[in-house]
Formats: sequence, structure tokens, C-alpha cells
Amino acid sequence: MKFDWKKIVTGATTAILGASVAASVLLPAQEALAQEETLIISAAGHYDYVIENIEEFEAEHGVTVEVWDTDMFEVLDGLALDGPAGTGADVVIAPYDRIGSLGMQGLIQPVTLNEEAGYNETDMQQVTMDGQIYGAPTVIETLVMFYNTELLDEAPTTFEELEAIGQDERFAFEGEEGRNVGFLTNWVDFYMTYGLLAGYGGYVFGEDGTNTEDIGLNNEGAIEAIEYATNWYQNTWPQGMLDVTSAQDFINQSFMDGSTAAVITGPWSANDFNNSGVPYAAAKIPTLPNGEEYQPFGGGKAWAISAFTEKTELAQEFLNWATSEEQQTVMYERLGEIPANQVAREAAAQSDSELTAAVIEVYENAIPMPNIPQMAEVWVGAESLMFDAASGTKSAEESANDAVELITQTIQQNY
Amino acid sequence: MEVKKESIRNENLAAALSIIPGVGQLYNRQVIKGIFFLLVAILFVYELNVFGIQAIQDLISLGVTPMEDHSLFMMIRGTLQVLVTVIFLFFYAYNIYDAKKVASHWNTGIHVNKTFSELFNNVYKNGFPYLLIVPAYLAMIFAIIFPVLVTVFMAFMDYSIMNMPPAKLLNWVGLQNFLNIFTLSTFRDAFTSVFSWTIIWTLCATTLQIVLGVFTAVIANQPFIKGKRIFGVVFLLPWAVPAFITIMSFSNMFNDSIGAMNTQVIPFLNNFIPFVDIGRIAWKTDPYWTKVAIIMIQGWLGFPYIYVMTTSILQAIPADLYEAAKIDGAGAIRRFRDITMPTVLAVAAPVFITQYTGNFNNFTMIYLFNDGGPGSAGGGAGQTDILISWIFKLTTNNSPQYSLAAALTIIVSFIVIGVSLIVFKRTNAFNMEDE
Amino acid sequence: MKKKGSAKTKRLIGQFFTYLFMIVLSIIIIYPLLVTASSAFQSGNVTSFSLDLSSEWTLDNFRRLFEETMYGRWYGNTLIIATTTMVAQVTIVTLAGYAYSRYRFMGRKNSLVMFLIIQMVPTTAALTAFFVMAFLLNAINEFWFLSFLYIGGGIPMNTYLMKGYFDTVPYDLDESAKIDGAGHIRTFWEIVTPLVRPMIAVQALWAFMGPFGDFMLARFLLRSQDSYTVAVGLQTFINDPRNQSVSLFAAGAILIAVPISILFFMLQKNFVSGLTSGGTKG
Repeated sequence: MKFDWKKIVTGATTAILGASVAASVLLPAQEALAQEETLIISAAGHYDYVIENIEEFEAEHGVTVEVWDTDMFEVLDGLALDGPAGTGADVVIAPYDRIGSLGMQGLIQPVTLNEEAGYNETDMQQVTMDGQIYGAPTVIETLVMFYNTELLDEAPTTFEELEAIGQDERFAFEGEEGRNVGFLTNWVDFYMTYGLLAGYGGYVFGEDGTNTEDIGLNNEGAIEAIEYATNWYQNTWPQGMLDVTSAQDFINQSFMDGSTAAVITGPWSANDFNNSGVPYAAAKIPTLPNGEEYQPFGGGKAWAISAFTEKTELAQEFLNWATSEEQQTVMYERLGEIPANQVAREAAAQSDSELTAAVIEVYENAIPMPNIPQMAEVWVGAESLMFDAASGTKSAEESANDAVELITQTIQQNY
Repeated sequence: MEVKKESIRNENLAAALSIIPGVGQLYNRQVIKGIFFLLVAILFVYELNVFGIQAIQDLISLGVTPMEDHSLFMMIRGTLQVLVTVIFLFFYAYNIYDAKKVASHWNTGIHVNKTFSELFNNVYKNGFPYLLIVPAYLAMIFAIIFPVLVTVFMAFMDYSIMNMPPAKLLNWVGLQNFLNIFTLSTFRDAFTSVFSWTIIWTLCATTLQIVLGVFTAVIANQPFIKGKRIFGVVFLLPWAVPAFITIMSFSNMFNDSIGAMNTQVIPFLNNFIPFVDIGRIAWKTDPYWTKVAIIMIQGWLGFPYIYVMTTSILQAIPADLYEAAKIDGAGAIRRFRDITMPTVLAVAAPVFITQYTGNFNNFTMIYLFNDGGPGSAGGGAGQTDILISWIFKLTTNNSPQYSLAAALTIIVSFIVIGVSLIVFKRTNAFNMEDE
Repeated sequence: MKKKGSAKTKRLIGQFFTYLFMIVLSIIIIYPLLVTASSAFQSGNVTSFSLDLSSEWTLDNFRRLFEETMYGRWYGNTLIIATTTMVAQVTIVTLAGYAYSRYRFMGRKNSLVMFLIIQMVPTTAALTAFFVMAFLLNAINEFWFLSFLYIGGGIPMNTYLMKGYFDTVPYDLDESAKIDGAGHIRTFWEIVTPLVRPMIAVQALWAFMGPFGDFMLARFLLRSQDSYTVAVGLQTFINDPRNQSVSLFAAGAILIAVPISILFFMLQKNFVSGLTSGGTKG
């Protein structure tokens, strides 16, 4: 028995070579997806509104839309992997502050804005990165004040009034001697602190949030603001207010229990407040002790299109539809979130909702959040900016300088 | 008995022929085995053509066109291919060895199986242990070796927030990440502080759980105790309830203002024990107290395991040993020191060591209790972060530093593995020798 | 006489302190568990666990758990994963443990220790690797893949313990079985395996409990809410600041902790023999 093994092996190998596709493994997955005209939308937080109204869009374009209710940040964090894997959504909802870096990382693609939405400079700036627009603004958000209408006759308009509430025996905290929960806000969270810092003259990056060399979180104003907040922590508020992980829950609970008269927090808390039955109203954030306005980050959400979608045009159609005046009004009525569309926003401001009026009013003073990727380091570095001072481990000045030094160094070393 | 010395088969030729797997076996007249080996080889060549060669090339180049080539995927596919190739090389070596061995069997007159049933019987007779361990090996290769390999590769790349596929390509950067940990001030300071706390945490928490476990076992084993079974069940509860549930509950109970620790336990102690007046404790807003809290909780969580072990060891110590010691006038402490302790240590030392290494990497505890907070130690780490939770933060926070995290992982691993090896050698644990 | 008296007092004091220690320790163990459990029966919105026996007791949280959240679904998922893991891991580990105990083969001496050591490398940094691997295998949100990772990770240590336990079965048994003409499989199945049942029970329990407690891998590999395991799902009750629900968490936790603890105590007597003879030969 003699086989010519060599021949057989080479023959087999060549045959296999001819038959094999040396292309990437990814191809089949993507092709399979492209065949179905299904648009996948990750609509965390807006799920109810989208699912109720999407039929109109489906009928108009003759497609099916699959809507996800997955947590927004989970979808965005997973985009770098889900996208190329072909398992991601085509359209995602993203907060303004993530739009820039997502665009830079090539995870979302430039979009065209709906002409009729009438976005102004501030709106545009929020979703622009290196001159490219990466998202269609749909919701604006900023902090407001909520106050308990049974405990207070009218909304406090200055911080002096809030200080007086903080001395009021009615709001003494049971668990801790000499502590008071009359007014609460979560200043250990940098997002919440910023309005106070900016009111005193602090800022993140110079030149409209683009110059990373110029960090203004330890200038004179910022230090004064930190000292002011520290005073609240050390002389008025309970110890647990320093606990970054649970302070916000504590604040909301205390307000819903009727132990707290006023809180500064985001409009997203309104939903919980409604469910709890606490009698409340919303108002503009009071004027700071130095006579300046509170200037929180202006934020919001925008629809963005995944860079990996096969259905860019359809996705763009969805963006136009979702940011149209009509749909923005429907969204406002359904979710109570303030439309970014200027026409719908005007209309909402005229409605009799105090909350809407308050958000729109505060938004006038709001400062767009820097959307360059370096902002990520600010969140990390400023995490303990307030904590270190308020807990008494460092002076306000030290704490601010250390935080800025940390942010500066990290940016230098990583970018 | 005469052994035939004439050469029927040339051993070296058989081995050489098996450079193409299976041919040497055919030369040895083992047709089934030969064809099977050849099929495996063809399958591998096919796999190389379809996937493998491309995967290895991609692993080396990590792509050329951003947005089209996804470096991360390339790296992972390449890693998988490396594993497949290594498995094949093992098979390849075996095939040459087998050809040579069977040829020598021909020459020395040992029976060589040629038919299918003979082959089958032979596999069953001599290959049985291999059949038993193959599933375990395969699972371990892909579930343990693969992620470790990926981590090692990642440590030599530049994968971070500023360099994220698919928009950017990854590059091989050699030891840069390791240098960065020790040269970039933000990371160096963070590393020093996190590392020292990791050591303190490991020593304190583990020692506490071991001491508490052994002590409880000794106390609870005294002969006069009634209700041993009830106590036995209670002492095991912390082990029986899944840890993530208890840690999350503790995390809530230790809240400074509304947690049960400060609102119920401390007032109760103040009322119950005279002359004690403890104020509110900043469990979660002062790093020192957070550290105290997690060490205590780890003691609570970890002692039952040690308690169970020690109890069973104690029950194996003959009672007359103690009796004899008593007659010699040894007190309880003396008896514990000279009889109990050495016995327990002799048996349980390796387990104690695994407890230490376990806590060194006890991610769940740190992450769930206070997410490494309060306050920051720089470099993205919190004041109570240990190395493993810092690594987690570096890969999941807003500005991920994947490669640095991988480099840190490698450093951490060296420490843990080094210490464990020394101790295992010393205590003869995990020794596969048969006494 | 006096001496005897003092010895007696001494003994009594010793007994008193023994009981004191054990009772205090029991309280320390039971209190936190009780606090968590009692929160499950409290009405209204609770933000912190506390032992409040005065408030009204209600089963409402359990109703909400199944009506308003996907808890039931998560529980089912976890059971599927846990059962798969248990069956496969026990099978693989028993086979491998037997091989290591009874046979000599290439690499026997060092292979297991090598895996044990490699396993000390924390794979936190390689979470993305698992994700991409899952994607390549089209296994995102798939339970089998998660099970596979649990199984692979559990093999080295458990095989080692299993081997130790097999070692305690006298070799004469195999010998006499062989003389009776039993082959490999019969020896393994009929003679040796029945004697290691206690260890198999322990192994099964551990393999089963794993998926109930892990959330790291599960969080990464299960991307959609309806494929969550209970650990991942329960975390969302605590971690989502806009929708926090401590009492729901407590209710969910009870439904996990009680069955697991019951299993645990049913198999408890096996632990002692399993643990000490297995991994701890001096």
C-alpha cells in the first residue's frame, strides 16, 4: 500500500484555501442584521413615551422599531463593544456631557439638526465637538429648588432665607443633637456643587470649557464657595450628608417625609415626589449670599446615531421626527421633561407648570458643561473637592488646590 | 524468553514521517489512528486558513485602518488562536512521540494494536485517566488561561480613554505602562497609598477572621455546653447567606445619619452598658472608620469557615492527650498553646493562606460596602480601595485606563503568587507526592 | 475543702463567660440578618434597614417584587444557570479528581498546581475579554457561557479537594474490584464514587451557590434586563438613585437567603468530612 500523501495533503489544503473566506468574522453578523428593516432605539428614561408614540413613525416609514429600556449609561459604556459586535442600538439617548467624547471616540456619527427646532447657541454648544454636531437635543435639564408648600408659605428667594430655615427648630434632625435638615442639597456631588462654585466665580475650564490649561476650581471665588458649603456641613447638616453614596437618597427621603422644607435637586426627582404625595412646588434657585445667581451646569439629553448602524438615513429620520415640535410637545406632556426644541419649549413655559417655568428660568443662567474628554478627569479629581473640606480633613484652599493639581497632572499625563 | 532484536521498523523514520501527523502511524500499520491523526491535522490547517493565520497576523499588527480594524477584537481573536495553536502543538509532539514509541514496540516484540477494537480497548485501558481529565483541561484553558493571557497582552498595549478602538488603533508599547505606574506622580502616589492599605487590610481582616474562628471553635467545643446544635447553626449563618446580600445590608446599616449602627446599636450600647457613652461614628464619611467597619464585617463574614474547620480538627484530637496534660498540671492556656494550636496549624495552615490571598483580592467587600470611598487617594482610587477594586475602577470609570489596569494586575499577581508559592513550599501544601 | 470550692467557682465563672461569649456572638450574627429580614415586611418607602417592630407588617413588598419588577424572571434565570453549573462542574470535577487520585499520567504532578497558581491572577482587567469572547461565540445574554466561566473557574480548587477526598478511600477496594473483573468504569462508578457522596454533595452546593452570589461577570455578560440574575437585578434596586427601594431589596434577599441557607444546613454535616480530609493533609 503506497499512498502519495504529499499530493493528497497539498490537494486538500488548496481546496480548503479556495473554499475558505479569509474575511473578518464580523461580516456575517452585520449582513444578517442589515436584511431586516428594524431600527433599534435605546430610549432609557424615555421608553414609555417612545413606545407609545412610535407606531406613527413606523407607519410613516414602513419599518419596525425595537425600543430598549436598558440603563442609559450601560448602553453608552457598552457601545464600543456592542457597536462593532453588531449587537448595539442604532439610535441611543445620551446626556449632553457624553456626546462629545462619544463623537471623538468614533462611536457616534455626526447628525444634521432639525431646522424647525430653532436651537440657540447654548443648545448647539452642548452637542458640538471639534465643530461637528453629534446629537439632536431633545431635553434640557438643570437643577431647581423644590419646597414643601405646607411648611413654607412661599418660595425662598435668597440663601439668607435658606440659612434661616436651617436654624428653625421645626426642622431639627432627630438623630443628631443640634443638626438641622430644613434645607438640603447634595454638595459632595460635584455636579450639584458646580452651581454654587460658578456663582462665586469658579469655573472648570477657561475659554468656554475648552482650555484645559486654565482650571478655575481653586480661584478665590471657588474657595469662598467651598468655605460657604463647609459651614453648612460642619454646623448645620447631619453627618450622613457627607456620604457621597447615600446623601441624595437621604435628601429625597427627608423631603418626602416632610422633615425638610427645601431642597435643590434635579427635576428628575419630581416623579418620586409626586408618588409620595408630599405637597410641593418648584421654584428658581435662590440668589447666593454674594448677590449672584446660582449657575448650575446646563445639561440635558440628545438623540445620537451609532457609528456602527447600517441605517443612518432611517436613524436620521427618527431624530428629525423626535425633535419636531409636535413630538416634543407630546414628550413634554407625557414625561414632564422640558423640550429642547425652542418652539415646544416656549409653549411649555407658558403652561401652568411651575417646575417647567423654574427649569427654563434657571437654564437661562446655566453654563454648558464642557464636553471635551478631559472633563472625565474633572469628575474623578473633583470627587473629593468638597468632601475633603467639608469633612474637616483639609482647609478649603488645600482641598481646592489638591483637586486642581490632581486634575492638571492627570490630564497632562494621560492626554 | 528471547527478544527479537531485528529491526522491523525504523524508529527515527517513523518519527520523521510523523512530521505530517498520522503518516508515522500508518507506517506502523495503525491505520485508524493514522487517519484520525491526519484528520486532526487537516482540521487544524483548515482552521489556520479560515481564521488562524489572519488572527495571528492581526495580533502582531493590531490593525492598520481605524474604524475598519478593531484592535481589541483582533487581539482577542489572536489570543484564542495562540491557545488553539498551543493545544495543537501538544498534539503534534505527542504524535511524533507515539510514532517513535510504536515503532520501538514493533522492534521489541510488544503487541501493536492494529484493528479498531484493539485500538478502542487500548485507549480505554491506558488512556482512561486522559479521558477523565480532558473536559477539565479544556474548561480551564478557556476560562482561566485565556483571560490571563489577554490581561498580559493588554499590559503591553496603549489601551485607554485617549486610545479607544474602533476610532483609534492600539499599539504594542513594551513596558511603558509599568514605567508609568512608578514614574507618573498621580499613579505613583496612588499606588503607594493603595498598596499599603491593601496589605493592612489583608493582614487585619484575615487575622481577625482566623482568630475569631479558632477561638469560637475552642470555646464552643467545651464538653459542658448545652444547645450545641443551635449555636452551631447560628455560627454558620454568615457563611450560609450569600455575601453580597449581607454586605449590601451592612453598607446600609453603617450609614452615618440613618443607618441602624448609629441610630440603634450605639444608643443601645450606651444605655445597656454603664459608663459607656459612644458618640455617633462617621462610619462612611471618615476613611479611618470605614476601614474599621470593613475589617469588622470581614471578620463577621469569614469566621464561620475557619470555625467549621477548626471544630472538626479539634474533634479529632484524642481526649486522653488533654487528660494527660491535665495530670501534668498544665492549665487551659498551656493546653491550648501546646496541644490545640500546633495541631490546628499543622492541618489548616494552607487554608489560612488561601484566606489571606482571598482577602487580598476581596473585591466584593470593598466595592459593595462603600465603593472604595470616602475621599480620594488620587489616580482614580478611593481612600479604602484595595488594588483589585482600584483596577476595577480603572477599567470602568469615566476615563478608563485599561492597559494601566492590566499592568497593575500583573504586578499584583506577582506578589500574590510569589507569597503563596513560598508558603506552599514551606508547608508542603498542595503537594502531589503520595505519602 | 476550700480549694475544692474555689475550683468549683472557677469552673462556674469559666462556664458563665463561655455562655456570655457565645450569646453575644450569636446576637452579633443574628441582629444584622434580622434587620434586613424585618425591612422586607415594612410598608411604605424605607431608605434604611432598621429593626422596627412597632410598624405594621405587610407582605406587600413580595407582591410588588413579582408584579412590578422582573424578579421572578431573574430568579428563574439564576436557577437555570446555577443548575447547569452544578451538574457540569460536579461531573467534571469528580472525573478529574478520580483521575488525579487513582492514576499516573503525564503532567499529573504539576498541572493542577499550575492552574491553581494561574488562577490567582485577578481577571478584573480582562472583563472586556470575556465580553468579546462571548460576542465571538454569539453568547451575549446567553446563560451557558456564564455557566462555562463559573465551571472553568471552579475546577482547580475543587478538583484538588475532590482528589484529597478520593485519596481517603482505601486502595484495596479498587484492587478487590479489579480482581472481581471490574473495568475502569465499573470500579469508578460502583465502588469508589458511592464512598465520596458527602464530598459530591458539598461540591454541588458550592457550585450551585456561586451564581447566586456573583455579579461581576454576570453584570458584564448579561446586557439585557430580562436575562439578569438575581444578584445583578437586586443591585439595581439599591444602586439606582432615582428608584431606590430598600424594602424590595430586602424582600428579594430573603427569597434567596432562605432556600440557600436551608440547603446549606441540610448538607452541613458533609462539610466537616469534606473539608478536612480533602484539602488539609498535613
